[in-house]
Amino acid sequence: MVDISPTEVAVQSKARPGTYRPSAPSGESIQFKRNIFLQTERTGARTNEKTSKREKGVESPFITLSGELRTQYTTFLEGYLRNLRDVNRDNPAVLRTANHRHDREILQRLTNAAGEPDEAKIQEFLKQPEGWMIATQVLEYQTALKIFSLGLVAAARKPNDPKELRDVTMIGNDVIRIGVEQGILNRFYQEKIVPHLRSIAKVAGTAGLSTGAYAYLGSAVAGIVNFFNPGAEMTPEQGALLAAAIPAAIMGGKRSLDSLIRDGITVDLRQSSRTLTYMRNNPTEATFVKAMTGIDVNDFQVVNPTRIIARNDRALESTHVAEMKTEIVQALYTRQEFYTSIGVPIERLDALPEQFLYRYDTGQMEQTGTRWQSRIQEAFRREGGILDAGGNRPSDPLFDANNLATEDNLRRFMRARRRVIVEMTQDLVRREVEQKELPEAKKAVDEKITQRGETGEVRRQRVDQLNTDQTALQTELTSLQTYETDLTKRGTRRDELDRQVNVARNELTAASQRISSATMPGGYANYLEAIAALQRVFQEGAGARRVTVDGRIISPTTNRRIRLEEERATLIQNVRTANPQRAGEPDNVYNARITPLLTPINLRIDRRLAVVDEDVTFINETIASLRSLQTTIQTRQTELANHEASSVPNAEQAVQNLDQMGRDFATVTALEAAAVAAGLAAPGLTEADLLAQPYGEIARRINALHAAGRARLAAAGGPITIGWPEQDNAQQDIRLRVHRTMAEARARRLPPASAVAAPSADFTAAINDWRLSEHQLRSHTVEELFRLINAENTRSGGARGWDAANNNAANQARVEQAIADARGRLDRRRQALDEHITSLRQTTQERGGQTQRELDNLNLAKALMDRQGEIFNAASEMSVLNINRFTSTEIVPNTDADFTPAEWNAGYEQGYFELINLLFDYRVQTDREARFRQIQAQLPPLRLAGLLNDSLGLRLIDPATAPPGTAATRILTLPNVLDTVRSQFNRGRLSSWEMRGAFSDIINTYRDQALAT
Amino acid sequence: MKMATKDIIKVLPFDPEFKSKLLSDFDTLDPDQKFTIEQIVWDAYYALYQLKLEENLQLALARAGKNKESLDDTLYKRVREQTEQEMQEEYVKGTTQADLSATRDTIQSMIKSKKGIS
Repeated sequence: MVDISPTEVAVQSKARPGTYRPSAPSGESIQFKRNIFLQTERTGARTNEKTSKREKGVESPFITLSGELRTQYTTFLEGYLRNLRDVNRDNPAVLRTANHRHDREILQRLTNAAGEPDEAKIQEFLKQPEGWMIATQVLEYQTALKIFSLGLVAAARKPNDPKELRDVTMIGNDVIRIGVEQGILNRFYQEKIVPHLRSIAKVAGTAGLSTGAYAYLGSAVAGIVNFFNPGAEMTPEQGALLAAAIPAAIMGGKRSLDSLIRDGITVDLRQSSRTLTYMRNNPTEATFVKAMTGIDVNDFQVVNPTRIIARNDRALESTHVAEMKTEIVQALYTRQEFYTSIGVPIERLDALPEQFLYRYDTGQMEQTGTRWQSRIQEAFRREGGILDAGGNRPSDPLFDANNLATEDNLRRFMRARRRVIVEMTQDLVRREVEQKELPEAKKAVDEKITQRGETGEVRRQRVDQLNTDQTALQTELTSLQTYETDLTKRGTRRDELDRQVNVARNELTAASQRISSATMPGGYANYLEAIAALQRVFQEGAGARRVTVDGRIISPTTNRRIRLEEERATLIQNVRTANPQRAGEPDNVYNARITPLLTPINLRIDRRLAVVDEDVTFINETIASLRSLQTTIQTRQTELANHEASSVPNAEQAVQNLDQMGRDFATVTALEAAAVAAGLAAPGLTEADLLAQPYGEIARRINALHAAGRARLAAAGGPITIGWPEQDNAQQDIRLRVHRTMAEARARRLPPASAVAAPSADFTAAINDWRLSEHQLRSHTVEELFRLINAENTRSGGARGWDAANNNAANQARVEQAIADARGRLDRRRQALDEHITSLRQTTQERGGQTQRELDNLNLAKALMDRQGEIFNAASEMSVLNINRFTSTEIVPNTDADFTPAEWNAGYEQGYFELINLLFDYRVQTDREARFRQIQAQLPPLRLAGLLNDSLGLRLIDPATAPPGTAATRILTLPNVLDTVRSQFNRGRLSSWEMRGAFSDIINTYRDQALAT
Repeated sequence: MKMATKDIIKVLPFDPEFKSKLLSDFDTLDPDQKFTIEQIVWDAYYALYQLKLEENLQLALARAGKNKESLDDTLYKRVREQTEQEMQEEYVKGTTQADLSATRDTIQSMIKSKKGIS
């Protein structure tokens, strides 16, 4: 015997988290009109809400679903949604198949953005009668799956194994009964449900019912068999499971939980083996079953139709058998609670619906009395109802319950179902036309497209505002850059003037030093003394002094000139004396005679006088040169003084911008402390947040803080104004405040810290004590700053700065540190602003790109949704006669005149072009090539291949996950998809029906994607 | 065979009055209503097809149990073809009847109109 009691398991078990969660018991009951669920019965009886028994009196027009029941449903739905979430995460293709479209709809509608079950949505869902109906269908199907899976485990038991399942009994050769311990229900209820009843908070929001609701309502009448849709790959053997699936699922119990406890769960091995075979040949369903029940069908194998064994060639991966058994009981119990709550007598319930067609115990379908069941039942009754092989009705004494006319019953029952499907469809269409309850998907998509258009609000907020901000910030940056450039130019000019002064000064000094005299043999240090020495050469008499210039000795010139004239006179006189004028000798004769004697003397003296003249000229030139150098020095010094006295262009605006960055940073970061002080949650506006978060998030936090401030309760001090409201973000000066704050935060992180974040003590003293501005520190020389500091010292009576006597090296070092900090602050802020603008530009481009991509996707979705009717029509025309065209894998040659160069160049298979033309009708559009490129970007061949593969259940394997050795023909590529579709069309496994469904899936995929944008 | 949404509406056995109004209003419906209704009616028609296919498969298997049906490789294909054939016949019959009915209504309307004029 093998024990599968809740504490022991038959196969390797591992706990599956999330099945049960402890929580506080609570719950609110909810009332509905009875006739929403049930046919109105005016029998004069009423149903006791506690015992579900009918009592005398007037039947209440309302039914009450208890808080406990709602909690059970909630718990069940949450577990179901978590399993679906896992399926969607690990094998998203499963939920994209037609078989599980309803699961996907439910998953999308009842989970939050993170994919977790959303309690608010679930509660809202359960406020609607359809929610209960749908949840009940899900519960029944999930239970059927679990019973089937548990049957596998039981069937795989090993004889003589001491761990063999306990309470397993073979009924005949092919039916197995798995006992459920007496009292398990009570234990289960007491131990599992009561402690875990959860508090259900008030909920907001809505969980709309759309095609998902329709899918489940359809399932309600189409029956469990629909869930076992064999798909396109079904073989005849697998086809047999269509019949097998129902009994495998529904024979889990008899009429009620009492009988379940009494008789246990009964599984028909014939059905299980067929179902198992089907499951194992259908990886999608196997994946789904494993995710939902924890049972891996690949752990088992069919030996013969009545024997299933556990495979020995692999480690069992099935899990939580014991928990599953408990879940089955829980689900059946919950289901019973639901039906009895809405007034269905317990004796009318089967453990699961549709049991009566195969196992006739009560003479009729289970009597839940739900509207949909009543409609099927009534339709079936009109079709003749259940008959035995002899055509006898159950009311006939000759009726043989063991020899049913199953085929005929089935045929008529199916017909009844079809009728009810039509009726329900009509109801849905009528409601859609008259009440407009369904989501307005197309309007929503249109609105999203408009919002992202050239003048749309989304584009304006995402892109246009940021572009404008970029321009404004760029202006500020330009101002800073110009200011910085001007400062640099200013420094360069100052340096040049300094250099020129120094050069002239050095030349003057050098020139002076080259002049020496007897009193200054080493040369003069002062040019004025040098000039005086030079000028003394010209003096007459004793005051004249010899001077040496560049080694050229120049004796006093005036004295020399006098001496030479005296010498000339003496020599001439000597000649005249030696050669006196003869008596009577005329003067002219005498002069003619003596002149030749005098001429050499004059020439000699004149030559020596010329040397004196040269010396005079040289001295004068030297003096002029010295004076010229001095003039140059004075001129440059004047220029320098004028330069220093001039203002820096653009300084005012730049300084204002720089100051504004600091002020905005202080304003925004102060909100953090202000919020906490006001008893509000910290908004997250620290320096680190400003660095880590994008602009939009910072703005959002400030807006949220403002909203929180306005909403502050009276007890906490009442509303306050802090931050600013969202609508203020439309003002550019408000946005720039955030941008400057972010840039300042960036500047504060640029090294060195002393630049912006932590200025030196000298810089702080310069601003606060010496009363200098940052601009003065950046633009003035140390000497100038000394003067300003000395002036401040005088102005303050010695309280601030220092006097001129203290313009020493130590104070110079302090001033130089302050200058370096001031320049660093400008440089880092300019750099940070530049980086912020670059970042903003990138963000804007990304947002623009994102917006454009969204717009393209939305337009694609819109095109598909607009063309839905035409697409369905076109799909209905697909057949073996034209499937070759739609599935051609021939690459379009560049000679085919039916295609454009863009299409030739794409190098795709012809089938791709045919399929996208079916979907978009792009060939007849005037901008065919542009349209093609859009489609090519949004629905490329591999994407189309993936969608068709999932929807049609082609089972081609994603190359990323394909195991080594996978045949090339089994890899997911467009050619393989086209080949498979064509092959299956020709083999009768696919038809226009499935293609229509696949196109519908594609439309809905893009619709969902668009709505989630 | 090419099918259109309105043709499917014609085929589905809705209440005649409702069907007539739906058909006449269909082209002017709100885009979202039209989108949703297209999905509902095509899904419904597909569900009917599936049910018919299920029924035919189960009946075929039952026949096979009595050696009246061959469980060979073409069983599923045969059953599908049979089902599609039956659906098409119902479709043609349904659309024809609906068109005839509409024509009849039009003629009656014209006759009444003429009577009104005279």
